[in-house]
Amino acid sequence: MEQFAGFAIPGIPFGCTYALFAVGLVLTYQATGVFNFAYGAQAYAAAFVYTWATQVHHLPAWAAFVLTVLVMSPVLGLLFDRLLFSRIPATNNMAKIVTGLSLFVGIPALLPVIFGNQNLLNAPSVFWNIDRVYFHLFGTPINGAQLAVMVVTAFVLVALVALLRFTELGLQMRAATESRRLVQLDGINAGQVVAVAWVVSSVLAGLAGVLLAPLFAQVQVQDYTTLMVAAIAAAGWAALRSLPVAAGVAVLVGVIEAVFQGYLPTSSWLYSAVLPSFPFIVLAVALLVVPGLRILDSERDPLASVDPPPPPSLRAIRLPAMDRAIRLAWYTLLAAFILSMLTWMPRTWENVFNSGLAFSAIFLSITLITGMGGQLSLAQGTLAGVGAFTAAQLARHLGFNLLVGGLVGAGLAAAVAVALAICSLRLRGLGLALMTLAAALFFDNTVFNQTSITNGATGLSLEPKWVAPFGFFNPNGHALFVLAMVVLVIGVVVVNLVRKGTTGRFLAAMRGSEAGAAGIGINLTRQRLTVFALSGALAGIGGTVFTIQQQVGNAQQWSYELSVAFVVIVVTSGVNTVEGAIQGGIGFVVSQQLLTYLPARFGGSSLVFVGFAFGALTYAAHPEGVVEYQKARSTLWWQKRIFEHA
Amino acid sequence: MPEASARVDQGQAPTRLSGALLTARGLRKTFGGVMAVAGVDLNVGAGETVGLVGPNGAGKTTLFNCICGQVRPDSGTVSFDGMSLARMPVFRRARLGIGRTYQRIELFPELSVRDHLIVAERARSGQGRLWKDLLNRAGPRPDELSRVEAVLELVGLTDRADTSVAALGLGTCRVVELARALVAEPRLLMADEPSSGLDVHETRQLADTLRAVQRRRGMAVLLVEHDLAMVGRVADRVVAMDLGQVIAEGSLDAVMADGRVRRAYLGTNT
Repeated sequence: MEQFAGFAIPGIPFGCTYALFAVGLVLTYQATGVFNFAYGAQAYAAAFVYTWATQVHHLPAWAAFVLTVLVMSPVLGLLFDRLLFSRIPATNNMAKIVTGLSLFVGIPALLPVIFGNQNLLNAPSVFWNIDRVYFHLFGTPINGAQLAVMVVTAFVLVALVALLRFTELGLQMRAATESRRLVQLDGINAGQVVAVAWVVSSVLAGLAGVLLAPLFAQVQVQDYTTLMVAAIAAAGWAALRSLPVAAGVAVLVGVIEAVFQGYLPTSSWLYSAVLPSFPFIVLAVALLVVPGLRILDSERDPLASVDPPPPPSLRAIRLPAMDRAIRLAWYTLLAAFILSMLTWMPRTWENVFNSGLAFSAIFLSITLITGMGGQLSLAQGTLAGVGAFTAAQLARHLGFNLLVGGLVGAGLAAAVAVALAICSLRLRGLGLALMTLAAALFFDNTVFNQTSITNGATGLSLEPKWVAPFGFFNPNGHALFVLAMVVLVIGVVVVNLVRKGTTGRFLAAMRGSEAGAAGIGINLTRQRLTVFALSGALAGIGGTVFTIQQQVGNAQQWSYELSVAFVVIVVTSGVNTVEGAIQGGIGFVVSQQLLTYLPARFGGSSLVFVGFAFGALTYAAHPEGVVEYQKARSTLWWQKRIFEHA
Repeated sequence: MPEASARVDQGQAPTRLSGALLTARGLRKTFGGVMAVAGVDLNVGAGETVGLVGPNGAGKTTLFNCICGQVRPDSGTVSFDGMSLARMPVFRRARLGIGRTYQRIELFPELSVRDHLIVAERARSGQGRLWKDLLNRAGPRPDELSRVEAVLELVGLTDRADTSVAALGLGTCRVVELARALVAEPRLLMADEPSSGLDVHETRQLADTLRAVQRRRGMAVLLVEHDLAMVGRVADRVVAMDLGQVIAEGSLDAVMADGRVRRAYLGTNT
């Protein structure tokens, strides 16, 4: 028993860090109706600025605390509400998720752009001294930072429960979550109420960030996002409703992790593979068994039925003649591109475009699953990785050609996608996004970190014989370009045929109304499995082509952060069209390459993610993608001048 | 009136009827502490039109959803043409021949009127293989198109066939829902408050269309409706519900004269 306590007690402070995040997530959801994917990023931003202010500018800890927690965080929350979330209709859950994901990608990328690349080490503790042991709990020493986390977590929990349950403001917050407009009709300034909720939740995120900063040797975004997963798992078990349950589960997760760490031999597979994925398993199980998580996206605004229908997309009002002209322009551009790649294109840029074509194939999988299927998957990068590593391992161990291995990899990626779809059959919208995120994190921490699969940090170097007789690695040939182009063209044809066919129509019906689609005899389960399988296969084959282009495959290429970023990129460039996927793929790599010509002061590739994240923030206004919207606007402008004048 | 009839009430054994197309026995559904449907028995005969009336909260839509499979009842059975529908998913019930329209419009905003009907036709027949899509052999067949055109003409939507439903008014959307259900040639059409949101003229048109189609096709109709004039125009028999239970059944006049029904609607017997 003493040994058990010795293992379990150190887990309590860890659990409290999860709890601090978990109650913040639940509060935000309860008070604003938004699941704030960017909560960890907000905490990271506060920790980043706090450490920067204390370590670089030598501000006293209390002054940095005031600056970050009491000034910056509430302003950030207010901006989120005023500029973003208050403009999203209560029932547009997809827009809320996409906006949160954009902030999740954009905030950490924006910080080095503003503050420059910083190595922020040894943040000071704001309340109690981290180097001093204040007391022992069942023999476990508790230092100042751990004490601060536990005390603040308990205080925050009590204060928030009191706020929501016993105050008029709490009641108004809960009512405004249901329908801001209905609350307005009762004479309450609902906008103000929700803004207060955002401010409180942002202060909490900032507080969590600053409290946790001293616990890490270096302030890094990965630590905060990992904490977020455990917090999401705890919030999930509370069905995003109960603050005490969320906090309790969070502490329990921390304790169980600590106990496992204590009892499991460090050399065992369970220790290295399963333990890091424990929070994701907890989250996945919550999504499977907690009924409340299946109805997260059910419409709640009673006034939603008085909303006018969405305006038709600008593409829909284009003249057929203009469509023909655009098609001709595309074909001309394509011919010029192919000719350029085969003749004068510099090697560096040919490589850039080749990787862009591979990304385009992966992004087509997002067009399929999200644009056509209406399902938000945050694991498409992971599925690409499954395809890529399968192909590489088959080549390495069985001597398969990478192209053959790529096809097998595509099949395996499709199978993984189908397994994921089967696990998520009852989930929609937010629930599905969380499940796919959990899957991506599971693969990151349990599969892609296995040396036998990815060969550790160095990755798997591909050998020329694996692609023989094709000269994909020949720096003077164009075989890789031909491969990437052929794969992309096949992908485009497949997506267009599916869209035009019965499956596409059934998917359009599903997107419009699942109840209506089932009511006329459409088997929703079959359609979901089909679209997951197809998109998994496309991602898998795209991943293989990208790995061939890179000549090496490693886990960093397919991290969950990139999976999320992929969605943000495609949402910006146009999630409903194949052009959107191609624009996203090419735009992603070309902008990265262009930024290499700028001084590092501008943040390098971070700026690319910032740009796409800002683009995705307009999703609520332009669900077709801001790039597609602007394209459609400009073509209408040309249409007026060319065809309507004539 | 067709031979099928029903009964019904608390404590009274239901009449066993031959030829009943739809039979529900002892259906019960609670949401938390609310008993939405409390042991309802209901029969609908082949070719019969039954009006289901009752005040708001009577449990009509929940009963509908239990029959269609969109809500799983806590207890009780539903059978269609002698076949038990227990645990049968919604889409299979639809393919068996149960069509429905919805109280709140459930159309597909990205599709045109014609596409709605093509999708419904394909879904009914269980067609739509992926390999056909990939071989570009998924275009509408002539026989499909002719069935679709026939239904469009039947409900008077031919001139709007290529219009996106997002551009249609509520009344027309209700007709599109009806057409979408009809193209699957249902043996039982369940219409949930089809006149909701329509004006008097539109309601009358919809009722006439519904009646005409029902007569031509000989299908059974189960109609949930608050507009008693419409019920009177369409229904052969009326079943009244209140607080999850069937409280009366018969002709519209007889049901509306029933004391329990008057109490349910007006809170008084007078």
